[in-house]
Amino acid sequence: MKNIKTIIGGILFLGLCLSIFSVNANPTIENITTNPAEPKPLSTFTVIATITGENIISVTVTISECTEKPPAQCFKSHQNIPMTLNDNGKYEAEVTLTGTQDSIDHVQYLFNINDDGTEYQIGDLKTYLKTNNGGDNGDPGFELVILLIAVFISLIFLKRKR
Amino acid sequence: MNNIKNKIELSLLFFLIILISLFSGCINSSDDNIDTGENFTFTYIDGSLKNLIDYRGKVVILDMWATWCGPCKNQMLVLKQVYNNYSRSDLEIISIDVDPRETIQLVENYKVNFNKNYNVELNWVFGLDNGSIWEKYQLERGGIPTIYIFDKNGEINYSAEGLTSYSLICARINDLLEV
Repeated sequence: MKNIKTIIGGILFLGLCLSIFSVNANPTIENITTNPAEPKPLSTFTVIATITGENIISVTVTISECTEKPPAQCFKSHQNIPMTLNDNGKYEAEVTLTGTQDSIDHVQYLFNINDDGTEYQIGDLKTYLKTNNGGDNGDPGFELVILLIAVFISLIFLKRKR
Repeated sequence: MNNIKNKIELSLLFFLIILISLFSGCINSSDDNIDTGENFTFTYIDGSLKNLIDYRGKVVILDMWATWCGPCKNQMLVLKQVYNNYSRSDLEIISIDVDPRETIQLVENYKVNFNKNYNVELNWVFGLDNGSIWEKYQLERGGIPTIYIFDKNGEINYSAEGLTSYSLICARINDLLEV
């Protein structure tokens, strides 16, 4: 009998702890994707975020156009764009990039989430843009042309030797 | 009798010379006090107006930023280290939010969140641009953070766009303070 009382007391205490813990849980952003996956500067893209929380009332996002190349800086921001809940339970918003600086290489997100009446800010999240400056974007560039010329010259030399 | 008259004339002349020298001295000293340094006005976080000229006699760092700017956060972490490194009689930092869409309330929230997230109190002067600061002091590429360092007389000593390092800022301040 005493054991049962202890067990019930323990369960009640655990339940109380869990309920307190769940009330204090802050909203989190589990994942951010964009459509297209690698947006280009001066283009329009959709940002899609998986956000979890207790009772999310509204979400807005501020998107800034920045560079990581030293010295790191930001140039433009698109403020408080409302995010809408899509059919997959994810929040999405569309933005058109307008920064004309060549060095802009990523966008940064600052989410404002109203979760059950409390405002939360989540930042320090980014998406890299598809720029032509790095030469590592998968498009054929000068490196490929040089490689092709080198192969072509090698073939001519080999033919002559024979 | 003539001798007395001469003495009076001489003393009058002497008195006149002293008066003229004193007067010219006053004119010169007022010339010395003309403030040729930079000045700008901003809205302090309590809503009052403040000027750069209020901080004459100190080296002043003007930090131009906005709440949405990631590198500006890193700049503030650097500025905190700089601020802790010097006495309040030598250095003041003025962080001005230069985005006209932002408000004092946003700046205050930013400071609170910064303290929560980084455990760093932003305890220097914060304010809002009233429109003229960014227009006057933005640099070539128009990015933030942008910092200026003014000497004790309000003359521009240094300006830079983008994240500026602790060592660079301290080197400039040490030069100005002759440390």
